[in-house]
Amino acid sequence: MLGIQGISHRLASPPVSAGVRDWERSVIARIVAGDDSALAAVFDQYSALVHGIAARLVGRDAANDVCQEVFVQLWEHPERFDAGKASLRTFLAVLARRRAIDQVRRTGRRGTNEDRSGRQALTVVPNLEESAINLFEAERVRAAVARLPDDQRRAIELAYFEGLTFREVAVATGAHEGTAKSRLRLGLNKLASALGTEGVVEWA
Amino acid sequence: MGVNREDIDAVDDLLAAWALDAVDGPERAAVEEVVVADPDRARLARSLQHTVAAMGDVVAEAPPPETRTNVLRAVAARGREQLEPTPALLLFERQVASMTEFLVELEDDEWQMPVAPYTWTVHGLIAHLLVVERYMAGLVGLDAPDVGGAVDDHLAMGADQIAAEVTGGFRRTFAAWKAQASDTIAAIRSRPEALGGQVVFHGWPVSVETLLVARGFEVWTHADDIRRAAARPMQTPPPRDLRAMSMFSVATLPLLVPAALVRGPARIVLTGPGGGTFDLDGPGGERAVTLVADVVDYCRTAARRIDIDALPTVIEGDRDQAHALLTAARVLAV
Repeated sequence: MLGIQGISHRLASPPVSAGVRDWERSVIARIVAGDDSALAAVFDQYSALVHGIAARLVGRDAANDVCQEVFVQLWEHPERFDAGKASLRTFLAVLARRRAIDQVRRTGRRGTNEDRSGRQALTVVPNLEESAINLFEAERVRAAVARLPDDQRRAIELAYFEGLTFREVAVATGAHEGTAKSRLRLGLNKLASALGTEGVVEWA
Repeated sequence: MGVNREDIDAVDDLLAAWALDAVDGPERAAVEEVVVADPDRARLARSLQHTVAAMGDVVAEAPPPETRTNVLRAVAARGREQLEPTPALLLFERQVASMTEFLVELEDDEWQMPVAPYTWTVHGLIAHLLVVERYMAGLVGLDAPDVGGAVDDHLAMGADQIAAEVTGGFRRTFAAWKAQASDTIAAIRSRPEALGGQVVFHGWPVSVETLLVARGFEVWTHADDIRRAAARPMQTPPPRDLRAMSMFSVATLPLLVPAALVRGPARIVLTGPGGGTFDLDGPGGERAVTLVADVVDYCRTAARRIDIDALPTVIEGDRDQAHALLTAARVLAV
């Protein structure tokens, strides 16, 4: 029998280890079936990531629009998410970044300095456990980036935080285009290796 | 665009920039064309994308609360287009055809196998279906043999006729069942208005249309009973058939679940092809429970072929109400 477990209106949060993938498959199946509460759960879990990525590139006001577009797109085309290829977290992060960068390149408008002043406090994250893990992972990412050689770190920061193309990175750093590409490649490969080793990268 | 060695070398050179979105549109397309065709590069590309996604934790920042409201409002306005259910007559006809195709493959001795959860053999079960077809034919106005008393008991109905059938050859019973089902299908097809007619089936007032869905559901269930007995693979109906059967089942729940166990509105989410989301009314404004299950598993649970406790579910909220819903879903099955 199912027994009495009391009443809870909160969607179960994903477990923080291997169960994340099962949770993601489950919520996507529910979204496909038309369950908007599953989309709300995904929003609660990943909206800080999506909004933060967009805010650094286009500013907070425009980031709200990007955030909305990303989650509405997930609702309209959940079949585009392939759990065999990426985590939902990565899928949404890529989607947010692409939308924001396309907007920057189309309009030429970037976020203000205030928008780019670094990470804000993690004020609204679904639960404390998840919040703590995000903070922990953020520190790992920061540490891994800090260990990169200066030229590689600078190239990656310009591409990631400013949304520059490798050609624009070359201009900004006074390097040849080939050198800028190499710095991005070497730097990102080192980060992938470091973060993969340390467990941040899930399905490398 | 064709992909040659130079393209591949150029893509390798660009992969990190691509992962960082530090390329222009044509370069992005060129990288993705190569990556799609090459599993090794695809793995590397995914690794780099995961790395870039992980960097998002550094900048994570919750949006204002109104963004969530706007997203959910936009989603509610768009809704979700649900699969059209198979029309009732077609569903019944298709399940009869599916059963027929399967039965002709059975070896002669397999007709004498017992079929759980009943005491009948395969032959006896088809004789039972023959009796049910005769009962249904009479309800829709066809001239069919009277199945006798006990018509409110699905299993006991026509016991004498079943006993007589199993003393004869199974081929005769099989042919009689096919013929009776075909007569009903043909009669209703010739008078489509009959679908809206009301009949009383085992004491339950239903439309002929609803009855056909229930009968299609029954024939599928019994076909799988025989497949299970014969160690053959179970069959999943087409999504639109599942949609029709699950809609029928969920529609009966408000009538069958005890009111005392309904503490609030409920949502049933059936996942997989043919599934959908169903909201059931209840007292109060706040949803008391959401029950999530695979649509095929749900249908088999409603047919009592999966125990409630064995059904993989996600239950959010009042578990007692969820259990009451699943129990109610099985009331019509025997």
